Amino acid sequence: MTDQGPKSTTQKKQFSRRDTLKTVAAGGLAAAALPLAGRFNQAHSAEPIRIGFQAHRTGIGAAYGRWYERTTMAAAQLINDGGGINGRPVEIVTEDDGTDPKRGAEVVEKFAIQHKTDIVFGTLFSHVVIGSAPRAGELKIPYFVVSEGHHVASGKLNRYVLQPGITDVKSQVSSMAPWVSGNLGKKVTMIFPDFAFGHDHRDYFSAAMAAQGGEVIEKIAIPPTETNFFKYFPRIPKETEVLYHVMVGPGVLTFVKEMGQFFGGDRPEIFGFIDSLEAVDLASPGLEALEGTYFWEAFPRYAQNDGSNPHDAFYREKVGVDANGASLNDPKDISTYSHMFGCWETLHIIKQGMEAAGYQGPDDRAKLIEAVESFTEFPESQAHPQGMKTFNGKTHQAFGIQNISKVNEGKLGVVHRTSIEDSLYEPEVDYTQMPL
Amino acid sequence: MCLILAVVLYGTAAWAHTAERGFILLLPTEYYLLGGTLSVAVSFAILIAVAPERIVEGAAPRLTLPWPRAAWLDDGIAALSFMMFAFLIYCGVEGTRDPLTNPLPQAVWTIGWVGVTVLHAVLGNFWTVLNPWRFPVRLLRRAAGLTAVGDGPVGLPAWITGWPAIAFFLAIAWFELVDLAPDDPDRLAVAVAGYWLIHLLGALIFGEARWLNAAEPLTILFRYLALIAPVAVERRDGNRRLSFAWPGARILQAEAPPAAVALFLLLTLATVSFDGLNMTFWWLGLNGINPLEFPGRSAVTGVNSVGLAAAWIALAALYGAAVWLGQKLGRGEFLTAFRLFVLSILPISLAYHLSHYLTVLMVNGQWALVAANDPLGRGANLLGLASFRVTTSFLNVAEDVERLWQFQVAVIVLGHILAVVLAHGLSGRLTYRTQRFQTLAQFPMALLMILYTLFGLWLLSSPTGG
Repeated sequence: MTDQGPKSTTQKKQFSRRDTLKTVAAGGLAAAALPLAGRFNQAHSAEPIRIGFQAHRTGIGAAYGRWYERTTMAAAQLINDGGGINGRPVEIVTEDDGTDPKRGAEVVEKFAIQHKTDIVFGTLFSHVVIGSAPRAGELKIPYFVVSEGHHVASGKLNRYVLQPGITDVKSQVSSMAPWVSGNLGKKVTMIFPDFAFGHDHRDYFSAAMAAQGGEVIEKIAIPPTETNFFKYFPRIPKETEVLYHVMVGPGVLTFVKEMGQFFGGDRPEIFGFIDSLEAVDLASPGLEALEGTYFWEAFPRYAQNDGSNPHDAFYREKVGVDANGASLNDPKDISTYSHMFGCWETLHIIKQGMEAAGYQGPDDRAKLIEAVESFTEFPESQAHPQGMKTFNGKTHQAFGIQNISKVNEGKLGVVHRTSIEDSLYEPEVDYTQMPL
Repeated sequence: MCLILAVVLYGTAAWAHTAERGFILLLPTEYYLLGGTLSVAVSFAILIAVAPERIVEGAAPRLTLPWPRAAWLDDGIAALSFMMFAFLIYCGVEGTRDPLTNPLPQAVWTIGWVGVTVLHAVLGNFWTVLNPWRFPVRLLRRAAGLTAVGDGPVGLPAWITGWPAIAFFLAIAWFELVDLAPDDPDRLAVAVAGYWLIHLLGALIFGEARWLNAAEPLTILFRYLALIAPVAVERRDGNRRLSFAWPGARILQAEAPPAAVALFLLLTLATVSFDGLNMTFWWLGLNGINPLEFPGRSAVTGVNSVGLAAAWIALAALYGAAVWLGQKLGRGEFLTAFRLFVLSILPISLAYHLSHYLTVLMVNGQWALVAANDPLGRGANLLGLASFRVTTSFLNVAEDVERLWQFQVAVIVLGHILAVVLAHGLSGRLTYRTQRFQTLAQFPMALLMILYTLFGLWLLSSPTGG
């Protein structure tokens, strides 16, 4: 801990902004909040459940962090409007981790020792999760991440780290192979950035395609510092039926533009991950080459209105997002729609877990872990608007439906929803064997 | 593992300046770089045909208006400012832990470091009234039976001026650019309170004006940037008058700073430059860091500490070399020129500051409003902004990014052109044997300014990793 300044942990200080229910906890000071007080039926224990939100407020993750915060606050509000958790209001205590692993560990410690939160929640970037998880394990504070990383299910972390509200990259990538091989083609060329993120896509997808009788015929690794891509396209074999791309970083727009210029009208099918263009309008000038190409999406950015996501409209309204995945306050402000639902769903699982465990306070943290580990399924509902999920209590990882969408006039339309079975893989760890 | 750095595209972080880079890479930035740099070069070529004295004459203040003395008003503002300062510290300790919605980080980094700095080049030097020391120092002096304004019990030798400011500014810059969590409200409250206390003691011991002008970096920086402002309050025959002049014109009349202050001013420009440099693919690549997988500040503490110092040394060396070569060619005196020409760098500092922090101001300016609406995070709605949501769409929409980029280019280019004009005008204050020597002496500095234009535009167009 580096901040040992004049900051005695007063009750006042622990309150974060815009959560009107905090005023309830403070003793119903605000008249506006008084009507809500009646909803928390166990007046004697109306002390709030304190959830430490480890947020990427600054640093490279801040754009995602902004939407993670909005979704988290909306979910907390909804939970509180419905009576809270075990009759107690939820209070979100936000600390910035700077998208840095060392700072992340400090923040976990602040939550556990200084703010005395019940749990820690909400981390997205893998390196911050990996940097923070050991401290959460040492302090025995449940750490619910919303990261998509395979690091939880890989067995790399510890029993106090769970990822029940969002699927991991291994299952996402693997689940694409059946549809891609059956509908787009069996001969795939992959273009990916030459580091761990790209390598994971390469390895998971190659294996999954092989299982489907398909083949990755060329793997083109692009150096991370590259900003000109023309020289790589001639390496795409002529017989390529599907081009799989997962470029990220500031060069991705240039990549798409140059890819369009290289192929002209005669191109293979093209498949990518929305991670490359999350929060970017696909109708932006320069991205015309994406028309008619396919993307993985966890949660479709554009409302589909086909009954496939019956709770989508409710979720959008609560978070403040329109049918195009943009902020209701600014239609040009596109959200990180494919990822942020994980905060919403995870908070609801925390609620479900605390209720199942009869959670009263920090002494019940182990019980909370065991309760969540006992879950096997989260049906599609307002709490789980992205779709049904299954949960493996041994690997601490959720599995769910994935979407494949096609770009049509600058918008994504879902053409396929995978089954959960398509995304399963052999368990690699049993965290329940570790002591609590 | 998945997302890793998809985000570098949209990073709208408090201090991550990478947001719009993907769209900027689609623009024909090389033409902007070429055109902008040539504009500065052509400006210099035209200027050498103009006598420096004519620039000085043309820049003389045109209009002055009576300005009330109203010392009570200044004292009142200073008192309010101090109370606001104390309240901000309180917010840092007691308010929300979220740095974006806590008023202290926004007041210090966004409103203060970005906004107030730029405003000094517009409104003149208001820090003399607004600074958080004026009120308590004068109050304590009065309580001790002294005059409100006056010398301290201990004298400060003249040679010291500027050196403590360098040390303090290095500390501020390190905290901003290298520390793990400069936005953390707790940490910032301690840092700011400590900084305030040190300078309070300095002002009490050595005298308010003497100490602050010698040792407090913001006082010095703002005083010099205010020379760019078109307005200033001037004292004439005991009366105060509001004078109007062309932007930057006052620099031509300004006294050359001591060498340490010149080095300090170069440090401030180097800091902003390094803030732009340290996230470029070039810098990250140089340090073996994958720009698409930026590991966080904790992984670059060492290299960025060295980099910050190296940026200052490099800029000071380049500036020194340009001055030295110029005076060698023109047979002039080095130290006088070194102190004088740093004044012409001021518009470049301003241009770098404004263009570099423009998007920070636009994004965090919104967070500052949110923080002001509910300063203690207890559900207040002081400004009626409870339903306001911060947007960063202007960093993700091609045409908006292009407009911002053009504005940044204009700022950089105009700042450098003004610098070239001022350097030419200032050269008239040095003694050269012939006009030919005077002209020759200016070439190296002009070349440095032309290259710094190119560097500034490159920084703003270069892909960044975090």
